[in-house]
Amino acid sequence: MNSFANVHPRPAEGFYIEVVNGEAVLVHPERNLVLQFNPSANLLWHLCDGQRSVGEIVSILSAVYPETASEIARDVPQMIESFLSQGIFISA
Amino acid sequence: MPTSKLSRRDALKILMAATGAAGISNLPANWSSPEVQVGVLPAHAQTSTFHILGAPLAPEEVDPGRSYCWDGILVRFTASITPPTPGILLQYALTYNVTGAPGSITSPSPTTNVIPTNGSGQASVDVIVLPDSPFFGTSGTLTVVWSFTNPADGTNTVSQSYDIDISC
Repeated sequence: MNSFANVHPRPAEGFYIEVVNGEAVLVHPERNLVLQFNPSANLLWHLCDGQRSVGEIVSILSAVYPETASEIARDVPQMIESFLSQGIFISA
Repeated sequence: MPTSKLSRRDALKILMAATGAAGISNLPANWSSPEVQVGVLPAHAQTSTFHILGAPLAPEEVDPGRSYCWDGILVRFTASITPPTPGILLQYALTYNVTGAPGSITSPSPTTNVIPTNGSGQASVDVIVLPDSPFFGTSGTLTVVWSFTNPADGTNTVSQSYDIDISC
């Protein structure tokens, strides 16, 4: 993911976040979308602020959860890439 | 940012700042694969406000001074919707799963009904569970499942439970 590691993702405009029963729910009324995250996806969402690169996000999460660093290196780019393709994230 | 030399302590600080978590205990203990459920608002909800149903308030015992064995225990369940809106119809369905001495829901009756949210977007139901015998008490789990009556208002459901243990 060398080139992808330099992408700086951030959420597209128009989402607002709600916490329901301890889980984050994102609503985008104009696009008719509701997203519900598990805790890991919620962390990832918050780290994608347009300032951090994918590589930096992987490093932060890997430092916090070193025992699953390889899974993080796989999961994070996958989710970000999927969100970019769906227009949920944009590249800052 | 020299991410290759990032310490766990520094990474935790970044993570807590990003998520607004008050402490490490508010972060997930382990990493699991990110899961995202993507839903689409119903077409008829596009022109109205779509709400998310939640239960941020834990069920609470009301009137704890009452005589449990003779009068039963009174528990209040509260659901709320986001954004807060009055007059949204919510349905509740109550069940009492007995695990010890028997008891039953004596109020409300029927145990399934529809009530509107108040000005804060909340709806509450007070439930009384009474031991079948005032000499044996009762124990079990009281559960309420909340749902929207009109799918245009929202579609998710939420469940709350309260464990009851009355010894007489």
